Amino acid sequence: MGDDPRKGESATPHIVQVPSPTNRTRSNQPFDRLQETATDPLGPQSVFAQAGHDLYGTKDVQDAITASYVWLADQMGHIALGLMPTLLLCWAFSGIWSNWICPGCETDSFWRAAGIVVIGLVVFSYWISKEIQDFNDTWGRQRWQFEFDTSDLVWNVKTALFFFAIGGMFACAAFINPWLLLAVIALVLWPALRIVYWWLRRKIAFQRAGLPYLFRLTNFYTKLSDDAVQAISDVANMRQVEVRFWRVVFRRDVPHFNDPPAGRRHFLITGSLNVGKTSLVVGIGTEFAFSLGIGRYLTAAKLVQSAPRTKKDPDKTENTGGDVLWPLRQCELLIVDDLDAGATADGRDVHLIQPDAFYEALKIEGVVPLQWLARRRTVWVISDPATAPAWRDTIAKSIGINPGDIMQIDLTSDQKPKRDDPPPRINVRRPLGYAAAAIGALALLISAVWWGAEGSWSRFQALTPEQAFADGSFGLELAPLKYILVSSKLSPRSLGPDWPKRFGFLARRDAVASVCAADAPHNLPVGFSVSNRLPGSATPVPVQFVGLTCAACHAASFGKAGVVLGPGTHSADVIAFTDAFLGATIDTGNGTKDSAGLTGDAILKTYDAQCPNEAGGLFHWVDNKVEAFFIDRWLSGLRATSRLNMSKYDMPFHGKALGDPLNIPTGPSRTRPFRSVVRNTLDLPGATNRAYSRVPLAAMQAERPWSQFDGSVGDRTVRSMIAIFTSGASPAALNEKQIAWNVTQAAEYTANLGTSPRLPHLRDAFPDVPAPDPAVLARGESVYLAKCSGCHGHPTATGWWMRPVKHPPSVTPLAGIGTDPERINFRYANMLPTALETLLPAKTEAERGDQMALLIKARLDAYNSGDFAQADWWTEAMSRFDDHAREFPAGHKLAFGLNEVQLRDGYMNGPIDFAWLRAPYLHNGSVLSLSALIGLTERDNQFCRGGTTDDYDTATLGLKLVKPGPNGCPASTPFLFDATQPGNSNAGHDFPKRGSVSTDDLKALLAYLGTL
Amino acid sequence: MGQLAKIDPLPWGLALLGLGGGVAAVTFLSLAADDVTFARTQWFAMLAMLLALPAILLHAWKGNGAGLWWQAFWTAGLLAYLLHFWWSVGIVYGWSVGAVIDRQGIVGYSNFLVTALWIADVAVAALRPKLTTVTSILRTVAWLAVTISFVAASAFFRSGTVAMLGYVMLTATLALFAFRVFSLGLGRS
Repeated sequence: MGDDPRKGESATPHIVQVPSPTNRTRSNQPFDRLQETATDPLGPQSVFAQAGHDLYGTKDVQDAITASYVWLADQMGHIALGLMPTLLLCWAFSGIWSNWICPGCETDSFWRAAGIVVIGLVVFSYWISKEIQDFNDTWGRQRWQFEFDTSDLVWNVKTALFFFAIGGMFACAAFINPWLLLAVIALVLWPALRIVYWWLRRKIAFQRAGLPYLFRLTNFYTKLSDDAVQAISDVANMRQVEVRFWRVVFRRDVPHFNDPPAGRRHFLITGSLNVGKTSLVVGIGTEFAFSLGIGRYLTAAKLVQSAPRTKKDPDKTENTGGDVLWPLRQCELLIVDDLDAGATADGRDVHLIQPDAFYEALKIEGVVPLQWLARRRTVWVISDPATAPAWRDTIAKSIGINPGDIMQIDLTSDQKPKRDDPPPRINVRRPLGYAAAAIGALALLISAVWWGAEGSWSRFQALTPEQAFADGSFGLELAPLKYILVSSKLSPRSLGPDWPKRFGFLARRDAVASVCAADAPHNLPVGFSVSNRLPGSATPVPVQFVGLTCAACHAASFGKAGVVLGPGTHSADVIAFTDAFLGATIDTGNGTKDSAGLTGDAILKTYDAQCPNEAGGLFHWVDNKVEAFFIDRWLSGLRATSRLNMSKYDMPFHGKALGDPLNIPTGPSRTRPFRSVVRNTLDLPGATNRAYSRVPLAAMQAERPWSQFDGSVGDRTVRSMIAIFTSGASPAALNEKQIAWNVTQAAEYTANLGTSPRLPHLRDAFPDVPAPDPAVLARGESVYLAKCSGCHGHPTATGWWMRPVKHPPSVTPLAGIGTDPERINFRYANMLPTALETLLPAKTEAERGDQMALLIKARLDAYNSGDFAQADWWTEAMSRFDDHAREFPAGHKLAFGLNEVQLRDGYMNGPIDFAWLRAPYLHNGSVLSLSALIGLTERDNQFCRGGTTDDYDTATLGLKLVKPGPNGCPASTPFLFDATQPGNSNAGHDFPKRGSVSTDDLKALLAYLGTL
Repeated sequence: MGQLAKIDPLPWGLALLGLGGGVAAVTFLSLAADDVTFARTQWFAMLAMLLALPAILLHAWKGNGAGLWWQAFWTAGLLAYLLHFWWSVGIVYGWSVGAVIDRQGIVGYSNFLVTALWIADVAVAALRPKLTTVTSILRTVAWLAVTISFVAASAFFRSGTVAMLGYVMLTATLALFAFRVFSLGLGRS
């Protein structure tokens, strides 16, 4: 064994490469020149020249196709086969991603990229299976005589997969980030060039040997002796050398040559026609070329013709019909086929060339110029074994060796291969089956783990009524906790530097100085809770979201009592907050690098900077990726909904416009519940709805069989459910076990709130206020019993007494009470009872039948009255009810009876216990104090609100009056309430009748009211 | 181990891949739905239908001796169906059979019967692979019940894509069954 067979001659054969004159064109001239100056016939310069020559200046219908050209075209095909299906699937995936999975998400989302990578891997795995199949087919065709060159074939498979992978990576990179495409090109360029170089060297060695076709010895089908197989393997330089990727890419491609002993370097192969002589010698030539040996295949006639050149131009390549061939003089292996030109003519074997004639023909100036072959390798083929001795002598004489140094191998046609059907080298079905099973099992495991995790994220907690009211989740999740914690930094222009204060939310008593998630339950404003539920659907997810609770609106601060749960807020401007929040989340950037807008990444980066102790580590990285996905999903969903809603509900206000009553007329402590009900229940705009309502005291509900300002809703759980639904919770969220529990418990909390748990009295909150004179109180009580008790009832030792009425509740018609009519007379009011009662499918089929009957009646009524639009709406409502019945086949957990919602024509006369906690007064909050309500002081048409949570006036028993100046309201109380605007009227409820009670009596009445 | 080594893992592997991939797809894609419980209940039924489809068609084509591919997808389809069963009867109805019957009436009874037949057939196929008269009858009845149940639930009780899937299933099943009958006739002549 040696490194090179021509040791002592030249490590690299000296070959002058002469391009074929028939293939010379202008465009391949540079490559021709490069080739002519190359010193190594299989070196980079020669390979590059050949590749250039293959690609430029030739056409495959005009010129002979070279093996190197076919190989290059094959690899381009592999790249295309990797590229095209991946591109197509990525394109489809991108469409599905942006339309269904994550509408509006950024295209550089981690999860989108992960999906694209998975697609690339799926396509690539198909090509792996295809290549394995090809390998098996090739393996199956071997004849088990010569060793199967698995290293060559495996490397061939790896090469094909490498180029498939390049195509796939190009496609994936193009969809993930175009810049990544450059990175991929940079990454694969060098390995690709090295692999191309490795293969083209062998292809060039093969094509310049002049072999008629490619044949691997392992496929040789005629039986040979073991010794012959070994000898042929040696002369063909067959050797299993594992080809390693890294070696090809980074190491020199050094050929290794064996050194067969004398007597096994020269062969005479005999055999009749079609016995496989040519295949055998072509196989020898192919194997030798693939080991980077310089060899030639030619016929006897060609040898005779070329022999003079071995003296004249010993180093120049030959050109035959456009093919460039190695010079004979530089060949390590010479194969002379059909030496005797044997043929069958008229049933007789004839031999056109005789040994003596051949020897004579070879002579030049009396000498046969082939003596240099003595130390190299030769293979000669004749057809007639009988003439073998003569030919052996002639060959030996021609190349200067002993006849005994020529090994003769006789092929006979009755010798069959050992085995025709070897088992597959690689069983594709088994690994494919196991791989599929493993992936399937893994997917099941991941799903099972996720379900288990969902259980922990939404683990049921039997919250007490107070816990549910203050901190329960109601499906009103707003935004991710981390966004809420950094929102003042990320969205200062929308929310301001301190949004809880700006929009009048109350701080918790147990707040600590921290801005991180762990302390959030203590630090969020009152009425904001943390859960692991997605906004809208309330689906359990690994990300914490912040939601609103009952206490966001039903809590207020009173002197030393501090924050009290139950009373309507004095300060929270919920609608302005909603608009500002919506505006903040729609921030999609300005289209430049300066601002990418609000994204999951931006939120998490800001949060990590704010809470650095939580950052770092692999788990945190994974956690952030998952959080970013859900946050982006939330953002895109919210934005998509907002865009849809804008055409119907208009754009949200922002900046100073938020505080302008012409834009948002409600201001602090009020809402527009029926605009929301019309929107959420009827899916109609409700833009003209001016039924502004103060947030009422949610207490002592047990003594109110009917509630709302007009007494329209019966069961108190239904009241809570409608309030929460109106605030944005979906029916699906309300059907969730924990949320349904929280709704029921929160309603329960309001049942006896006042006595159990007890609410503070005026002097509990303001102990410095002097106690009223008992005589004054007695006088006030008598005025109350005379002027107020008829409608509002009065306290007794056993509870609050109300005058019985035949058909509760007691309602004073609008004409009688004279207060603002917008709360009663708004558009679509007549549709709401039926729409709400059929919102949630009942539990039994019979009840659902009654609900459907109600819808049918509504449609008929509308149709009979000529209101075809409304009749059509009810038809659609019937279809929606069917859908809901299918969605909640066992009935909705919060479904309620058909008579729980009623249309009223006035305002309800309800109990007024804890009257001092009910400020401001009248349903629309247009009267600030009890003093103004009973006529002791004037009802001001304009006053300023907001800006503070400490706004109780113990003198007037109500909210402090701040009158606007010539320039409007001061910055400390910025919202201007104007009672002359529609929906804001402070007229009506002139009780006690003006002038019917003296001022002293009114003062006494006020003092008495303060004790209720 | 020796017996196991002889089993072709491809049908089971692909069926498990379909089941696992389908369950994962239902689990994660449903997170984007407005009502996750409803989406999962519905989508698991569709997954069961898709997984059982090859088995239903194979049975229509080759009868009771449909082989390993049939068994693998018949079993995977049942497992997906049991997930649908769990989400619907367990989570939506709170394991209240009375509520199911109240809502679905006679369809509820037939669904319970189909579930029982399917489970029995899969169990028999796994534990007693050799067909007897009784197990042949069970297999035919289970196949018929499951096929009718899927076709009725999709083609007749739904609209849109789901209905189309049902029609495709019905057409393909009938076509293969007709082909089988026709082929038998040709063979005899």
